[in-house]
Amino acid sequence: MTATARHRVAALTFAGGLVAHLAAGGLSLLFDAPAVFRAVRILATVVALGAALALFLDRAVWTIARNTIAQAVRVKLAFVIMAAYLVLVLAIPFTVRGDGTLRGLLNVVINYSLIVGGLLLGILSLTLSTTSLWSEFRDRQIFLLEAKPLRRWQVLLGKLLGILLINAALLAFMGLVTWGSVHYLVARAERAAARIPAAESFKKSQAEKGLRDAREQILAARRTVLPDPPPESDLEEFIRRNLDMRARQLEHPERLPPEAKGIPDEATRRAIIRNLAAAQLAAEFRGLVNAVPPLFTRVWRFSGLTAVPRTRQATVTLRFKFFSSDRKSEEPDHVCWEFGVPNRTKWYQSRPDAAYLPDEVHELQVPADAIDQEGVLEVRFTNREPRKPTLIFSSTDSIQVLIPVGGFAGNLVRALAVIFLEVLFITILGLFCSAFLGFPVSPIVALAILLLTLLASTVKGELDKGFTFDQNLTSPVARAAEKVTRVVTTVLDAVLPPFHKFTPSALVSSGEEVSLGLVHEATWSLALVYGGLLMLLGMHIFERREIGLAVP
Amino acid sequence: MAQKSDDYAVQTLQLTKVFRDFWRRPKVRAVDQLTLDVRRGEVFGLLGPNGSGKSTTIKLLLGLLFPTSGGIRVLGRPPRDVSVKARLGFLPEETYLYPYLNAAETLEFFGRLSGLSRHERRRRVGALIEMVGLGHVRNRPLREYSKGMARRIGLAQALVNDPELLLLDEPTTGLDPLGAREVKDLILELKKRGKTVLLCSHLLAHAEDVCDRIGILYGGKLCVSGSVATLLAKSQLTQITLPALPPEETARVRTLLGEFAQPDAIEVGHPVDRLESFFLRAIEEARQARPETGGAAAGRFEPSLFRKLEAPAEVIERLTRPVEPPPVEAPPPSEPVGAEPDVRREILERLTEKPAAVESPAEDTVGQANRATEEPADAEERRSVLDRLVQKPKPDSDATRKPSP
Repeated sequence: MTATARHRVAALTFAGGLVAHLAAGGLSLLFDAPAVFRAVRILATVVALGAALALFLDRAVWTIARNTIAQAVRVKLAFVIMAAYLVLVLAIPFTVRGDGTLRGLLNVVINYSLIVGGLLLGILSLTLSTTSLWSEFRDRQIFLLEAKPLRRWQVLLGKLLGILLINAALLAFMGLVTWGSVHYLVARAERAAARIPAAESFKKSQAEKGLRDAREQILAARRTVLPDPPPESDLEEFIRRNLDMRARQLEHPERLPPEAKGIPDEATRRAIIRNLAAAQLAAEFRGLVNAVPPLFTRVWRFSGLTAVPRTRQATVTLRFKFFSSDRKSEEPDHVCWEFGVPNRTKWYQSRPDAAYLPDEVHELQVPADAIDQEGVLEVRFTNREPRKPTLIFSSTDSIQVLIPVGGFAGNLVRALAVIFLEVLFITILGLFCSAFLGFPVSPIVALAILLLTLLASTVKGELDKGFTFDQNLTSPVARAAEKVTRVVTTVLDAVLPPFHKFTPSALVSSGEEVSLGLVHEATWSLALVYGGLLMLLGMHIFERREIGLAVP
Repeated sequence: MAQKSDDYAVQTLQLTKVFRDFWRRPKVRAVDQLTLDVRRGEVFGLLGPNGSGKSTTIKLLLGLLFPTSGGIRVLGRPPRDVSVKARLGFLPEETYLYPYLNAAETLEFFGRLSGLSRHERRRRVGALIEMVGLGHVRNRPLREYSKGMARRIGLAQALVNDPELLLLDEPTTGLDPLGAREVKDLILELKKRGKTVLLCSHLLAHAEDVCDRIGILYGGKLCVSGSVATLLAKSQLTQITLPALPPEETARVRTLLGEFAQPDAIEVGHPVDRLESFFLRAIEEARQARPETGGAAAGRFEPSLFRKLEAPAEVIERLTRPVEPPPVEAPPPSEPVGAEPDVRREILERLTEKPAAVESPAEDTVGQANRATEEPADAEERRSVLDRLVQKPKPDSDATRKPSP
């Protein structure tokens, strides 16, 4: 098979993989076979990834890649990044104390190391990707490349491969530094704990607890389990009881919803009103089940915890955050937590004086023998605050159980893989811009797109949470601006890559699992769909560019 | 007899390139209705003043620019065809290489891009570096090279894939007279091996020395095209050359010639030498008078390839090389000059295979004059290295088989 035919087959296979993945996603909405479609999507991702990698297996591409690496190494850019990283990261364990605990320190060190690493790599990738091709134009080496038997897409792909290899090497280095820093800090804490004399038993036990917390909560990969939704029967019962009254209220001329206004047919109007009433009641039910009035108890049920060994030594983590209806108070609210399945497991209860600040995330370690044989854990929450506020668990993920599923090293590797995929997209974005723009326009445009990507999801998130330009919506300008912003951010959020979905540093620094599913999603989304399509478009544009004109 | 399109290495038909401004309004007509045919195996000179469209034509032939109208065929194919690029060598008007690579890495890089095997690359890279006289600086990054040295490595990269067609844009720019002479001799050697050379230059003397045919561009239009001998011949005059005569004999000759032409149409005097020939002779004499020392020949093309170029060190250094070669690379100063070619010959023998028989292609006037003084041993060595580096186009190659559309 000739090289050209091989390239065509690889490109077609890549396109086929993308189409198969999208088709599986579409069909899964119509047919109820999630396992089958999940398998198809994974297979399609692997096929598309394999085809993309096959395009890299080309001598010309590797030659350009080697030259790109030589350029980065000999102009010492890669070393500058490494030095900057070392200076910024290695100073952290000695300058930051966190919240005074080893757990807090590790959280800061891991989070900071990965954020700084990702940021430096992002800067490096954007710099290299936008200047590497441009320097070929500026110094006219592109004339000589054009006179050699290679296609322009091979030049672009070679640049991408070179930058990716540099990124991979630097990321491996950064990963090792992070891993080394963490283990150094743990070893230092262990030595400090060992030096505490046995006579100071409280201090020693505190130090050992700090070490245990760090190991269980940071140096682990913990999977998040959300509570089971309230049974549908409860919701149906709630709606059934209240629907008639709510519908009558809505039929009142002053409360008549706009959707029902002006409909002459009585039956149709009534049906619309009943549907609206049911929707309102469903929303109210969700609010009610997440709100705990004074002296009331709310029960959550977590199932599927079979992976945890049901011993007293093993623990799972309960993470929660609630709001208080008493917004003026800055005092902690007194509550009671209870864990265990009645008559089936051991029963644990928090201390009677347990109190927690609202609006903050808290974690409790729950012995794993509170989980029953079927992997079910019941959690009861009682509002005992004497000031009698209602305590509200606002969203579905404001209470969750974290179960250990792996170690720190594997989690760190998966987090680095996600960072690599993020940086891969940035590199492709830079190369795409430099395929048709000069310097410094291409890095500015690439940076603008990147910032827009981050900004669009943030603004959309805030708008979805209820942020408004004008609380009373009295100003027509503010209303119009808000409407335009909503439309623009919704479109941008749908079109631009979903960077906000991937927060590997936050996950790994809080001991949460960076799952293979997340890596798969990042591979599919950032590398193959957005990256792959952008790269194909860039190669297409570059192939048709009149290079002799572009040279300054 | 009409030529077949296969006989042409380069063909353009009514080629026009108009540069436009941001608003797509025509700004400059750089090439205007250019119809050009470069035959296989000839050296064609595209001449013209600065801004006449020479470099734009080269860029069009390479696919760096797209024609506004008209057609281009290079080796019988469209200019952006990858198979064409595999048979093409290009030396731009300035040497656009990677400053952080050294000579060997540069040639290795372009050799890999040209699809040469590892063995072939190793063989050709070493031989080319020796051929262009950069063996002593092969491990220095190109940013440290002088302009002349960079030009040499640029020429080497153009030859790395043993091209059938060479596009040379101002190949002697930045070179001293000796270097320029070497390049011209190289072009003639390549022509002897059946290669086609399209040469752009505004240095007319250089083009005159090597070109079979020339075309003169002005304002993007081809003003004149034809063979150098035909274009330069003054057929209305007759020249008689005699050994130097005493004044009375000169008067007699003048009287005798008076029978054939009017006295004011007769010129009798001493012919004037060309400056280049004079310069080369002066260098040769200086070398004879003052033997060059160790590193003297460093930075020159391989002397066994190009006769008459074993030039004295000081003169060459003063004229061409602001960057001194590293002393460690230089042979001992006490070594006699005559030994240096032997050392290089040894390198060449190690690098080269048994010389292949060389057919004598169509003679050109300048080439004949040069070859008249050529030593047989030098010629043999030159052939041996070039045979290694440069192959004759095979008669059954794609280029000759494929009919041109």
